[in-house]
Amino acid sequence: MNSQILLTGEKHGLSEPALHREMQLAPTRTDEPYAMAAKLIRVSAGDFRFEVRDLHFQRGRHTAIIGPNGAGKTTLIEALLGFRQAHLEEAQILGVAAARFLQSTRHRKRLGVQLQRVEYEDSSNVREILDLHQALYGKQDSQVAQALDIETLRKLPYRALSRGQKQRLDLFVALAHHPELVVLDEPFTGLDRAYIERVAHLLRYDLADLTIIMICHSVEELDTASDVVWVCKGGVEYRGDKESLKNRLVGAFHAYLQLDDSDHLKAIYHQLERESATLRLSMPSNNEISVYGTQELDQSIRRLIGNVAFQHFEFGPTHYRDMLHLCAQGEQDA
Amino acid sequence: MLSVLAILTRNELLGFFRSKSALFWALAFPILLLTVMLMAFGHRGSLGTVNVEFLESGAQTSSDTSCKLAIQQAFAGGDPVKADFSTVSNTAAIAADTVRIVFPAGEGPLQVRYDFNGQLAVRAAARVIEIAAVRCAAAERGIVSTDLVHFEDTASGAKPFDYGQFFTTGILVICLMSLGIMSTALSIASLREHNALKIYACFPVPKLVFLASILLSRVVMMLISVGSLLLVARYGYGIDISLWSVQTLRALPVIVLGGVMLLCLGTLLASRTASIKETELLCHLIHYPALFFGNLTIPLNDAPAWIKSILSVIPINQFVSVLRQVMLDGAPLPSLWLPLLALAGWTALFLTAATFMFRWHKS
Repeated sequence: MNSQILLTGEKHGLSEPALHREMQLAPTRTDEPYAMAAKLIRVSAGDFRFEVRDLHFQRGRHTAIIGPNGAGKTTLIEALLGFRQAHLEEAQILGVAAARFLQSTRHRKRLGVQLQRVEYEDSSNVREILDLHQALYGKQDSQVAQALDIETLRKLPYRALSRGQKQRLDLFVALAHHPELVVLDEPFTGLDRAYIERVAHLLRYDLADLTIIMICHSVEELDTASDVVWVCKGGVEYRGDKESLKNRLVGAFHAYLQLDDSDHLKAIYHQLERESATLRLSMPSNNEISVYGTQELDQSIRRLIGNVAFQHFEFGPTHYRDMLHLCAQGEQDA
Repeated sequence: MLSVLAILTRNELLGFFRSKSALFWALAFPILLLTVMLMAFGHRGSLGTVNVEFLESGAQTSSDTSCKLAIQQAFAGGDPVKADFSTVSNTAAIAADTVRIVFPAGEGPLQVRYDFNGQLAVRAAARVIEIAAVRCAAAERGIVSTDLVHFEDTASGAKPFDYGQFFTTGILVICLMSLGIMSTALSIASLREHNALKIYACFPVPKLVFLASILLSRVVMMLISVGSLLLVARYGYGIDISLWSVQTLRALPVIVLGGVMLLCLGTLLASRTASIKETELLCHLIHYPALFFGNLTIPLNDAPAWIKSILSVIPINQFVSVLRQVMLDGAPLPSLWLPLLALAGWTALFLTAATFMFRWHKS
């Protein structure tokens, strides 16, 4: 038995007043509050279908795109950047029509992009790529260079770089010129612990004023974001602030209960099912229960503990990791 | 934007000089191919070299000695076949590339021993020996051969066919094809397959500047490759190509125009391909037929007229034809305005199509 249930009356995404409130809070540098927006994005390739309406990424915010593999996260970004054939309506980048933005070198100077699986020519070396970046943008932020320790790579041939070193170079190319809009695809992939912390610090503090849109698969990446776009089942399930999605999906507390007596366990399961504090309830196996809930789950669990002798018991606050885990599984409201 | 173009071009060139494979195909392979072709076919109008053996006999007369000299003189010009002479004392089996001459002990005929169904060069050498021997015998009897047969030079002005020149110019075009079509197309396809073109698409660099850097760097590579081939051909193998003359200066714009045409064709082939494999297939579909039917290293003199007519409009055939006319025959450029215009037309067509069709990404 492996069932789970989400008990909530909330609708997907932010309600209109909440959205309005968020727009007012978000810092704006021009009249256009969105860094990227589209009335409609529709992509179809073979059996794959992806469609999203009224999508926008707010300026000055760091937005994480999360979701299961193959859900369309990269498709969404690639469609907006013109790398994929897509039907776009009223697509804009930094207030300029997307097609015009991507055709104009003046506008592209305002953009920084890091993509997955990018390989420059094996016969090139790092110095040449850095020279090209300098010639293109005319500036390279020393803080970014320091955080990514780019000087140690400068003299190396490109083919000698490890996966992590290539990732550092790609991040430098995307961030060093302080673009108005940065698009990152899994920025921490391949980085070791020390560099994950450095880049996280860089994004959270030194580059806090940039608009960053990033595809996330790790909690460290998610931690640097304020907003979330949850891509699932060929569309967008949620867009809005990260905390709201966490509250909606996994609430404030999580409990894990293990009991040998399966009848007793089922009784507890039905009891928790009836609790208004329960948001998401599942039985990973015949003698386990996992439950996410609101603040009131604390009281409900306390009542249960008094009556039952559990074989194993865990209780604590929920984390973004839990939310990311659920979103990556493609779990939806039941 | 000029600095960006300069850096992109410099990066491409540095990558070329670091790549052992690129250096081999651009510099070593053409020279290797020229060497092999010259070993197979020789230089100017020669069928090759044959071993001519004189069988040593105890009683050699003065007439034998004079005939031997006459035979050696007959091969002095190397036309149509060259000979290496030696004297042997035994009657061992005769090799396939050898003609053995046996002087008669008494009044018998001179014997010329060789494989009657053997190599063309050997059979031709046997005929040269026959003529020399007959002349020698006639002279002994007081008959001057020119009283019997008189040769008259009806000089048409046409240069004799020279394999060395033919191969050098043909291999020169193969070099340009290799750099212009294969290297350019595969380089672009590799960047696209490895997503680097997506990053270039996000850089503030115009598409034309990016393409220009690829073309410009390869023009430089082409000039280096062509220069090294011509130097080796001229000074290494003594092929009759004048390098330091007005004729060569006139050939330079033809080489550049043809090279740019091939570069544009390479860019066009890679403008939409999604993978290196797909690009390779397209390149091979152009490259190999051109090697066989381009009149590059395989002379097509005996092809039917209708095939020659069809081949004459193919850009690579036009290019090599104009190049030979300018570089070998010394034709002035204005006299070749029509084929040059055709080359320029092909170049414009390939460039325009490549610019319009070019995509940074796979889909």
